[in-house]
Amino acid sequence: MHPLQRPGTAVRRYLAPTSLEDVLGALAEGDGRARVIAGGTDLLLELDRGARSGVDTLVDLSRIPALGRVDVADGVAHLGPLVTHNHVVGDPDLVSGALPLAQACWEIGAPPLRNRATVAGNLVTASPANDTISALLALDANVTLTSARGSRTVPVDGFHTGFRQSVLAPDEIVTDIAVPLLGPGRRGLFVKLGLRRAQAISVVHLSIVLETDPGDPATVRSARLALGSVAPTVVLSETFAEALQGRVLDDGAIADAVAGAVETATPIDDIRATAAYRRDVVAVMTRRALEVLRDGEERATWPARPVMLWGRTDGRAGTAPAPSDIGDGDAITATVNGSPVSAAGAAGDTLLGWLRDRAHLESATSLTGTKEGCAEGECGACTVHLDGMAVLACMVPAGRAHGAAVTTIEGLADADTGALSPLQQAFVDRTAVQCGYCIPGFLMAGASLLAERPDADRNAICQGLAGNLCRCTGYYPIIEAHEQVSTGRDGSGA
Amino acid sequence: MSAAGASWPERGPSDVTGVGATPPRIDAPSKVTGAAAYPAERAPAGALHAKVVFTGQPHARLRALDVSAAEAAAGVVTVLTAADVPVNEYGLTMFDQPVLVGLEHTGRSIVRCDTSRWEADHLAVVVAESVEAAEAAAGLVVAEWDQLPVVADLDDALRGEVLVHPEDGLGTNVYSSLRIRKGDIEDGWRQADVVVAGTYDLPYQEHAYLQPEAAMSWVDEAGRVTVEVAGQWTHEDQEQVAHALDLPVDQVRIVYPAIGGAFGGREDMSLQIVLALASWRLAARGERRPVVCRWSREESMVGHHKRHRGRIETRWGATRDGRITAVEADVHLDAGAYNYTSNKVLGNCHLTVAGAYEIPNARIDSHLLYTNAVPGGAFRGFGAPQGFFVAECQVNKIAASLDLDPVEVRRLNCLREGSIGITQAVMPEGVTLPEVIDACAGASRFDEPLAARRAFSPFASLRPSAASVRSGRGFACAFKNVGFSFGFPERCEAEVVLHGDDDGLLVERVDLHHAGADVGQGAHTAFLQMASEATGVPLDAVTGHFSDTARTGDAGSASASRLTFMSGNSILGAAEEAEKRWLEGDRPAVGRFRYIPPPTETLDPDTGAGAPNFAYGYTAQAVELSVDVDTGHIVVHRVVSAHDVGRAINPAQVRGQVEGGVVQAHGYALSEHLQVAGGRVLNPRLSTYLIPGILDVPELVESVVLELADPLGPWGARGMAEMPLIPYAPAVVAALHDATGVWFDSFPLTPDRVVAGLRAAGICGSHG
Repeated sequence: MHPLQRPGTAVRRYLAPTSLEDVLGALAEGDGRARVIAGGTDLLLELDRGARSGVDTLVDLSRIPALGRVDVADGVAHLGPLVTHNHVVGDPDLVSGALPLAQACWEIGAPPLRNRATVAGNLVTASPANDTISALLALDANVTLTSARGSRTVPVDGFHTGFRQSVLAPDEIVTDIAVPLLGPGRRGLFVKLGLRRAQAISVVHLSIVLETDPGDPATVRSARLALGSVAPTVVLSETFAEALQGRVLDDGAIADAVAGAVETATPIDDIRATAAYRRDVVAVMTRRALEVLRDGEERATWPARPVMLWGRTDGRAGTAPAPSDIGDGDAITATVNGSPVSAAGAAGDTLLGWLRDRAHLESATSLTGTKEGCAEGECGACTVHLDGMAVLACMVPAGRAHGAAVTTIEGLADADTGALSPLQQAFVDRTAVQCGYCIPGFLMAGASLLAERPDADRNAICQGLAGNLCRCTGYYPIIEAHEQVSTGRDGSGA
Repeated sequence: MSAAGASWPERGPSDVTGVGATPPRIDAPSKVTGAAAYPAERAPAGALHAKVVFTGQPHARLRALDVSAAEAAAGVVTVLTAADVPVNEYGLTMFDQPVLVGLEHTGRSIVRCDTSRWEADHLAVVVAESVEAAEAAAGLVVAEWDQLPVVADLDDALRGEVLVHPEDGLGTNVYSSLRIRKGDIEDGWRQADVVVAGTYDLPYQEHAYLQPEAAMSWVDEAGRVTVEVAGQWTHEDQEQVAHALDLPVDQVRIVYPAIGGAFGGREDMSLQIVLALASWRLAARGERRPVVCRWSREESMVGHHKRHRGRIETRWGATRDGRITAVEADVHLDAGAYNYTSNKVLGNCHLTVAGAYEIPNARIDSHLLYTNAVPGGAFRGFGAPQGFFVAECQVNKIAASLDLDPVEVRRLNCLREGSIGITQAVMPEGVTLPEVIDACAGASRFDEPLAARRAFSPFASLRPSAASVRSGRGFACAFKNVGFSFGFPERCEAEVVLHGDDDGLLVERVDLHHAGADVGQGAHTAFLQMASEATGVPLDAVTGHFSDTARTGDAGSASASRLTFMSGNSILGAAEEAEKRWLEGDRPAVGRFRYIPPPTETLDPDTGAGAPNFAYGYTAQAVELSVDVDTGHIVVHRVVSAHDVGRAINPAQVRGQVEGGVVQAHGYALSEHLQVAGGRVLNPRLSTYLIPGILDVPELVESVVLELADPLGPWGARGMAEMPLIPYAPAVVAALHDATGVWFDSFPLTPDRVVAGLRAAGICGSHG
């Protein structure tokens, strides 16, 4: 058969413990066959594509809310393994004290993905294209790894050992990412070059953190540049650091630093860009980033009100923390559009597959409105609300939804009268529907956006819908439909 | 009710429901609630699941095939191979592809079936109790192959050392060629003051409809093998299934439910034949549960055809004042492993490579080559985007080299009423290109200086770098034929039924039976509007019965910008027929009508002379953009897209086609880079093949819609859905040249390609 048709790595058991001890116990017992899952946005793809062979058990952290905390103490932020990209974007302490990390999180995927993908997961996947890694490396973060055998703390600088490889042992999980916070004498930023404005894998990404002399703020005491997608791992540039040490950020110093950055990059040609192009833009990005830092404008483009697609929630899951253990053929029970639905499936089902192929047959109402367009978190056609937040159902393990509340497109109209919601009616009014296959995803993202921000302006609308692809309309009538419902149309509410 | 460009209405609900109005789409409520059912979504519990096993071999001969382990696997109901296919061949315009690659020849098929010529050739169909069982068993199908050298691209194909279809007896991979010889080419060069030459590399494009292929099959209560699928021509699907299964046509039934986009990508067979085969074979042994199959995105992207890649070398001559005197072109399109509709696409590229101009002297040679790459086939524009890319770049280069206004050069040369086209025939009546060019130039104020450049940043976290941003604008125009070409039998059937009291005069309600496919463009809403207008009955009293070969006549395809034009004429005829019977006292009064437009001609093999088409639609576009010369990122600020649609049956849907077409063209021009090497698609995912997202599209698309009636069109309507895609890429290239002084003869204009081109031309970036 064609290599693309090979079945993925089959999961036979889905555990969701409620204590860290149980998680570590399951990993120890799993002897390499158990893998921890937080957001799952990378892991589910790896399994689907046959990577991680030998894994047959997933251990879900999501029923341990404490693991989603961000704590700040003594100038260091501590991120638990359930901290999502959107948690970082929405955390004022992190935006202030870890701007490169917040910027990296903001530029990953699109809001529904950022509601699931975790910083720890981004680190553990260990792709050189993973944006938060350059930020954590430049910020000189440390990571604590814990197993039943104990804990150890390693610098992010020593965490990655090769392309998609790290020092993490099969029985270990990341329990803490410690980020020394920025301040007046320590500033930084993140820069990403992608081929789209959202949903883009980095062609090159970089983060810079500069420390200046307290007595002489114009002089760089130390500088860190982390470069991503230019080598098998994200790399720190020693030559960049040497070029800037003790220098004032004038044109000469910037030119030397750019040369240092380029020296570190050893890119290859791939499907996204040529090696020559990557070397070229490393120079452009480094120079522009340093000019922005020199001018103190690194926060100028940060959005005043980043769009989250948290709906009316605070971005924290509301699922009751009861443990679960689901094997093939076991029932998964969730509240779907306000009614309990129980359907047996496979332990490795995604929420999308469970809704369409299992719950659909058990539910009083049809549940095939949630669509599969890509099964890799790219198109947004499967957007649903999980615990009130917009997520991509193809990227959520079905077991995660056990005991949770899910709203699908079938739950958007008035349950009693069947009357369309104002946004649904606006889609009809504005001829925003053509083939219609993407439309349920747009409506679920849009409903979440307008619940979060009833006065969304055009920019917020586009940010909120950045994870949804449409091939028919060009998006314009979809934007108009949202503007018809928004109380702040024409930008008056921005 | 008319909606001319100047008074173009806001899109929105309207009380008026006939032609020229924008009533709510009939399918919109079900599509915004999730109730609309797409193929295979109504599968009952207990349905069987099929897995179509691709060979995974770009070029290899099958030595042995063993499906015994797959058949014995848990949950497997049957495994079908080539031996099960009664007539193991198919193809829309010629039979050159086996349904399943296999060891032995079957039935009347003349196609050699023992060779995989494409990585997505089908090898076997596994039917099982569950998706998981079908997939697991598919992995147990054991094939042994003798590898053959892969004909990877045009250069390999031209060398001809390895033949993809040696059985065709041609001795070459070039299997279709067309010629144009017009005027005296040497005289044309003598008259030329300037000669512009270019070699253009044209990329693939993937349809990327949001719904991957899916289908459900069963044998219906009347004993017909039935396939519910998304396609573009029910009755052609029916014929192809009937041919391969060796059944009478009326024993096959094709039904289209909601269709998740098409754009030409569903014109050829995907699951139709294999699922029909599965249900037919299973029914023979008493198994009547429906069979369901859904392709993954990867299977879809590897497993269906693309817009053709190609290479076109060309040379144009013009006088000092901009009059074109001669055009020479050599066109090579990569058909891939099988023909699909490639021979027709080649014809359209051949007709358009000299542009929408009066060309006195021309020599054009166009060739189609087999390779072991993914097949080329139908995609919105159907060869015209490739042809016009070259023609419009050439005209813009001529204008630039002579320091002339590109709009003026077009006004000087463009086709007009009575013009002789490139095939030495008078253009069909209703040539409105001059008016369309003027409307576009006027709306875009192309004669006034471009407003100051608009800085943008390619980086979300960094301010714009004003020094590195340059802005420019470009212009291009095009035509596209409406309807089938080159003598292909063109027709469209409709049935209109008028209901009312025996003695009453008033028609109370109307039934419309029509097979035309609503692929998302809104055809069914437009059909009902036209039926309402034709019968004088309000829209809400007209009921449609669509896209089921058991209930509707042959409407032809949803392609070639033909469906509104052809269907409108068929509905008008059927309504007239029904009205006649109504007046004769029939209750209900049934009118059936087959509309047949004026015949078209194949081209003379030596000179290309002939009248290949019966109608055209015309378009012009102006594009304003900025480029960051450091990074190669491009932002399109404004697109003016002017169209003569003859009559906008549904203005909001016309606008939807313009905007959607422009954005699909935006992807073609800038970001959609399908990479195929060694006979394999390297980026068969939406994460690696990048269609535009909401943040990537042009900031503003202005639709300028003219309604200059086509003499043959229903209510004057012309086709229009392909046209917005055609001139965009060359207009972008012209705008990029305007901004930077550099011409790009290949695309998509990805950042790395732009930077490489600028550096090669000595533009070194803002800090270079």
